[in-house]
Amino acid sequence: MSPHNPASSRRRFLRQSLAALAGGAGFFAAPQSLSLLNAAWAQQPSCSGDYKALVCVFLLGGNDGHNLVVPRGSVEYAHYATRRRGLAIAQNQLLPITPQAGAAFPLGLHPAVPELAQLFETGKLAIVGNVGALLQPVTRQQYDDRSARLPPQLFSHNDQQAFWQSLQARSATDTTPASGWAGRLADLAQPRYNACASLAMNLSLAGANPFQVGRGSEALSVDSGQISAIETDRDPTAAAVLEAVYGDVQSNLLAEEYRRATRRAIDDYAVLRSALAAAAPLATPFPPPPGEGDPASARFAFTLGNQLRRAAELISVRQALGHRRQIFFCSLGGFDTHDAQSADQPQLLAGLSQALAAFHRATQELAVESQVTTFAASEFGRSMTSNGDGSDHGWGNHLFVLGGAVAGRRVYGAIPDLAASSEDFAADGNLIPKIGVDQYGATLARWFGIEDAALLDDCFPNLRNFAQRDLGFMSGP
Amino acid sequence: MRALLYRLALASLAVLLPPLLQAQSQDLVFRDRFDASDRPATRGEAARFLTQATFGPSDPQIDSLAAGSYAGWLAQQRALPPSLVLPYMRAQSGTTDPLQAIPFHVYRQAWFVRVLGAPDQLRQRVAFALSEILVVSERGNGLDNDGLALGAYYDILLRNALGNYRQLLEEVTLSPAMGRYLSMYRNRKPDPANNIQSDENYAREVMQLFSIGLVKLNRDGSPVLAGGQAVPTYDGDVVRGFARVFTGWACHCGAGQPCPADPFPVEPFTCSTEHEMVPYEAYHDRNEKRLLDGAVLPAGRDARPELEQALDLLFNHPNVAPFIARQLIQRLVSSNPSPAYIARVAAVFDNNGQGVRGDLGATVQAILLDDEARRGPRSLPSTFGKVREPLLRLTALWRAFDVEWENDELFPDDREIHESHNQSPLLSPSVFNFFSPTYSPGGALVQNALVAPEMQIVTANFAIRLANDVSNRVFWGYRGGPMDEFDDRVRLVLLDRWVQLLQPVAGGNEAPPGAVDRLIDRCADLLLGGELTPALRQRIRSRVLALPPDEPLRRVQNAIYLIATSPEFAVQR
Repeated sequence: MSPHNPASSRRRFLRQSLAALAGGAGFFAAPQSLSLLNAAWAQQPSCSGDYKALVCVFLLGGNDGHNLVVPRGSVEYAHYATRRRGLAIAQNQLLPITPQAGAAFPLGLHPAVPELAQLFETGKLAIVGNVGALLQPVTRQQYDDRSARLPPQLFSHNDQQAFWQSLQARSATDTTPASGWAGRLADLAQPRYNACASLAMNLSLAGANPFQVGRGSEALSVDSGQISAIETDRDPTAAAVLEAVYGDVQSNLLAEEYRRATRRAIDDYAVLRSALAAAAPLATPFPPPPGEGDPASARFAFTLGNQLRRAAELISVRQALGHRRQIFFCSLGGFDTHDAQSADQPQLLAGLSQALAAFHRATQELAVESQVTTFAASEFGRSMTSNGDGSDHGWGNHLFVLGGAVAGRRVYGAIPDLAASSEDFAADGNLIPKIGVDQYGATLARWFGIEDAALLDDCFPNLRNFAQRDLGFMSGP
Repeated sequence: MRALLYRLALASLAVLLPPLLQAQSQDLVFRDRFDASDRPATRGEAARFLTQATFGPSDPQIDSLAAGSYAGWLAQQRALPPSLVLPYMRAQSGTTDPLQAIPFHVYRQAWFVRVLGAPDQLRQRVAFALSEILVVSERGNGLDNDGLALGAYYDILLRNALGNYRQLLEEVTLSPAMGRYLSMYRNRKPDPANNIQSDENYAREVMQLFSIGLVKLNRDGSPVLAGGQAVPTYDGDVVRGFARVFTGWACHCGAGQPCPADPFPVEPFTCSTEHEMVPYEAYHDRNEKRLLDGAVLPAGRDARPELEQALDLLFNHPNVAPFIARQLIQRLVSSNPSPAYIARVAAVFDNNGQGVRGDLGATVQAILLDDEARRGPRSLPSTFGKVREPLLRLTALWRAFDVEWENDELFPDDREIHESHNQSPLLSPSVFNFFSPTYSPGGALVQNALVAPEMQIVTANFAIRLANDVSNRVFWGYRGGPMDEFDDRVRLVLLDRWVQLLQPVAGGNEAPPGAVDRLIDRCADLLLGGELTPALRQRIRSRVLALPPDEPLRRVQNAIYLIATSPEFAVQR
């Protein structure tokens, strides 16, 4: 780590922050930047101090939260079973949980997630009920009469993945660069916390994503396998010449982007390799590669567990990387259970539960249990009604947050009323979210270290439309 | 057997070819009269066209194209019968039973055999592009290791790649692979008493991804605006209407096949995954349906006529031409086509000149012969082109250097090609393909409103892996090299004719005068369409000249390696 020099670090801060806030378009392009910058600068940058990490686990396809968190009381279960013909989980199969607050009726979790149930019962996990894509609160009447202002293309996978991760409702004529809320969060947190880091705060274990694109910063994709270098083992000098080729600026913009990204990968991976090579190996076991004849859950546990194992390794070398803050993006695909949901979703959830439990144990091993918060995400919930053997694209969904800093064993928001007379469902059967993703994200961002209201509004552009700016799951009752 | 034939064919062509030196002098003649005419002006121009229209140029292909015209080449290609994959897969598996399962890796093997060697290259290339628009994947519902269903699906794309989009859309809709993948297979009419709706999966994606997209488009692909806002093409009610159209379909049962009379209550798939699905009217919804833009299908209709009419509605929607035109241009030519280019191609999709809508052969021809495709590097130097898809990088390298092999089976590394390339045919992570047509990596591209879809899978780790893959192919996987004789499944490039070029003349110690520059020029023709920046040329030149003249093989390998790993090769222009 370089010695801390206030004057040069302020210059660097200004340069980086202005580029970040203005999207690289220059100082005058974003006059509102000044007030944000002043707020950020008031929080003195430092190379050493506390550490925190956010880990996003994105369940691609739209996880069916209705079968993850299920009413267990006899009246509410009967409503659930009526609405979910062919998809309902048997009442006696549910894993009972005992929330200390927030549940209007008894609840159970899906039988495939015993690890998550145990983490809930030990206070490490909180459930956030009925979260979804919202620009502002929406009533049933507004939705039914089509007067509600809604995010674009509510039931489309890619549009909703983009909205969940960016929180931007972009008009057709908008040509300003899109950014994700983790990217914006990193833009703001970088000068204060990671001034000494040479690598990006945003680390993706699941490839390119809209979530971690900042206005001036970008994510680093990190493989869960070998961190490669350019190699020509039969003629090592050729690799050195190639690295020089990647220093020659290209005039075609696509070729230049390819060159720049690859050049950066070569350099960043060199830093990563040396940091990881010096790290003590993790003792915590992660799910092993699936063997012949293993259930599908083994493959899902391995796929996600591998990403989380690499995240744990990157957490373990945070000091060598100069990282006081890290944001990880992981994903697991397959949740679009239109078909054979009763066979497929349990495998997915079991893999998810096993991988998350391993990761939580790894944070305990690394003594960062209360400094790492993992949160679930998914582009949308699913239809309450069955299509015979599956569910279709929906809207509101139940999510969860995991970690030592989480005020767990509680339900935040509300699990909806499933009675036939329920006002929680629109006329077309869709569950209308009561909590916006902005609120969910801002609660995490405050814990992460961005507390200033203007900065939060900058990161979470719809937050100002909601009365409750912090859902409380990171601070307890 | 095929491989041997392939090698013999290559060998016989090589005899007829003019030596490299002669070709060089022909280029000088070509260059004096360069224009975007009906034939390539240089070997590089020919290679550039073949990069867009095939799985990569080779010297014999360049010669063949240079001897005629673009239009002649296209006419010849459009007339070639499809080189299908399923018959090959059955032969490889030694089966004739139409129900016999075939492992998925046999499909991947068939794909490589076809794209590297089949004569119908244009069709193969377009089919692959279509497999990235009309996506099914082995990573999906019930298609695990189902080479039979996926091979049959790919043959639908091959047969129709230069045919009509309406026919393609119907065959795709009724294919067991798509039926499985997007769960139209065994989709039933609603059951209100039990609170069960029809499955919306195929209804939603056939509109959003396979035909009209989410918002109304102008002819040039830009969104129609009303009050500054895009106009949705459909809403939830339309999705539910189409969902009920696509009810009542399940698998076909051939004579003598042991299938259930009613496949709807039965799992798993017990009948053919090759034959198109057939209707089971008891499960088809017969109520009235409201579809696009107020169109109403009356009550009481059977499954097939209703499906035909619904597909007609989609196919005749004005969005289809710009929606499909843009994506095909992006797959073949350029990530950021100008609105006028899209409009010109869309016009041909709308009407091929003989009043036929949806003629893919004519549409592809319009894409490839368009002035923007032919002159793009000069007319739009900073924005034209596309990042090469990882698989197309590999096929281009192999084809440029006359790849050959003894055994069609894939070497283990190539069987797991997605590990090194983040891409493998029919193995997309979701119906949204390996990458989105609107993906932009940010930075200077997004500030210039440019997209680079393929960059979504060429992330940091894969950019490095792709470079190292080239190293493996060039420094290990060549005829006479360490992988030759090691395993007869390894695809080998042939470097001998290149080495000959640099061989010191008898009695001397140096390569023939000008040979190093000719080597670089020839490689640049094949891999870069003849366009090499002075900076890269200088780096290659210095590197090659720094190597001892009596190691011509190493010199050749360095030249190829540095070009095929360069940012210039990474972008097809």
